[in-house]
Amino acid sequence: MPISELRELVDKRLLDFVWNEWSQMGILATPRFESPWAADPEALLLLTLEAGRSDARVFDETLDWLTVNGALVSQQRLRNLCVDDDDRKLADAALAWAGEHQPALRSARGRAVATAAEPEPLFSPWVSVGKPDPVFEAYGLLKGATQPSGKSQTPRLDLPINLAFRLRRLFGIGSRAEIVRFLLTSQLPGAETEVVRRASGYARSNVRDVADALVAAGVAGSYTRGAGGDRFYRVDVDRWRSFLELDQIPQHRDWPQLFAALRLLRRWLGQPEVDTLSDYLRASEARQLMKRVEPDLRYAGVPVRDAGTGADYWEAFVESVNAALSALTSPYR
Amino acid sequence: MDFDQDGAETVLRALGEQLHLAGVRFELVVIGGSGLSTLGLIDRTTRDVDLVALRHEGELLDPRPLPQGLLDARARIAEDFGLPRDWLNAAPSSLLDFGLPAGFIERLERRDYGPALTVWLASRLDQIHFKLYALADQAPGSKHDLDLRSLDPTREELLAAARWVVTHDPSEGFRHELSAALAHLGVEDADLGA
Repeated sequence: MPISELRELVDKRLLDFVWNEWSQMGILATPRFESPWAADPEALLLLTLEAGRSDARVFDETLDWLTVNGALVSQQRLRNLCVDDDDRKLADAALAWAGEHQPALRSARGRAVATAAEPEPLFSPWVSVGKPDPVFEAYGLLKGATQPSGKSQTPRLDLPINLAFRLRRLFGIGSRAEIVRFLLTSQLPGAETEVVRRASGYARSNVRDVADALVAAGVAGSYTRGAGGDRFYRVDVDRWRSFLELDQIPQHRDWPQLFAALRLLRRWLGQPEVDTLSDYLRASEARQLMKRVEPDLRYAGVPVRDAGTGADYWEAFVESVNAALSALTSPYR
Repeated sequence: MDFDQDGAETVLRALGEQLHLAGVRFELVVIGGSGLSTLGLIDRTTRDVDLVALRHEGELLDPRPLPQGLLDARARIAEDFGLPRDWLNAAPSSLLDFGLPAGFIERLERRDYGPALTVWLASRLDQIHFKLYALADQAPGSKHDLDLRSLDPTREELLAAARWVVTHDPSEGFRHELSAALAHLGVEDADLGA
């Protein structure tokens, strides 16, 4: 598959996915299907800010959603889930924009970073910006000035996808809600502290303290195993389902890991210089990228194929990218 | 992965591309099986490229240790083609310590792999020198024996090579091994001096 085709495929699949997710979370759009999983709001925001660079409408509607629902978003967690400077720049700019248009979110303003002399266009293909948005420009991103569309709603908390917001309403924004969401949706007989940390997006010590507090409160259990005394946590799913009056527990997905890999893949595919490389060098660069994202993809249950030498590796790369895209909506392994 | 003549060309072209992308340029002086294979002088596969020197402005330089830019590109090629990490190595560069055959530089054959890599291949005559040296160190039937036979050296070429080889190891024991190697190749009455 030529790189131009792969690029289009990645864009389309990511945009289809984020539109469907946000349409169930408060953005005005019609969902194609009801997601059986619980969304990870901050991970989805980061994915959308990247994927939305080829769809100004979803980008702007997500900003609008943020002005309405910013109080349901953890700025700390959003930054914790960033994997590179591009993530941080996009996240800080979006938070600052929301703070500019929603006084209640003023504290949401991130610190503008020192930018290069020439701001880079936010959208590709290029969208004429007219008057540049000063907030995004301060972060080195060129985007037309827009106002919130005012179309976004608060999320419907009865939908499975919005479990995170429901738990945040219950526990407040912080690690407690994330830990309960993970223990409840993963339905593991016991989750090691490190596994909970990776899902929650908070520091290990914080996760352990909060999980221990849940155990002390009698709403979670724990046990210790292994020579290192690793602590494992679990919840009584039936008790929680009854308490939350849920017909079904939404599915768990390793969204932070899958989305991080997909953001890096999309970012690499979007670099114009990749088009100018020879078949061999493109495959070689693709191999390096896959080496970087492979741990996250494997963590998220995505099979990664390593086959073919030299330029022939490209085929295996395309296959792995396809597997990652399929993991967005396929049943969890 | 082992590579034959086509494989060696592919790998060296890839190395040239990696070096160009990294913005560095090297000239490598290559001997051994890969050099012979690239010149089409032997028909066997090999797993490495033996570097005897780097060439800079016409001068040969000791490649030890290999420059970082070359090491980085080497590592990428190893990953991309499933080669051992040291597929490009400076193992034969100790030959520089006692000198290369007279006229070695003038006889080098040039191959360019893009703007960032030039490979200078030791000539057939010089490869006969190196292969005889290696054969004297190893038992008949080794890959050096087979390579040397593929080069089909004349008696004069072998004697010239032998005279160079003894400058690298003049010990009596080695002369004995060298005489045995020559005899194995059909040169029975070589005068290697005392």
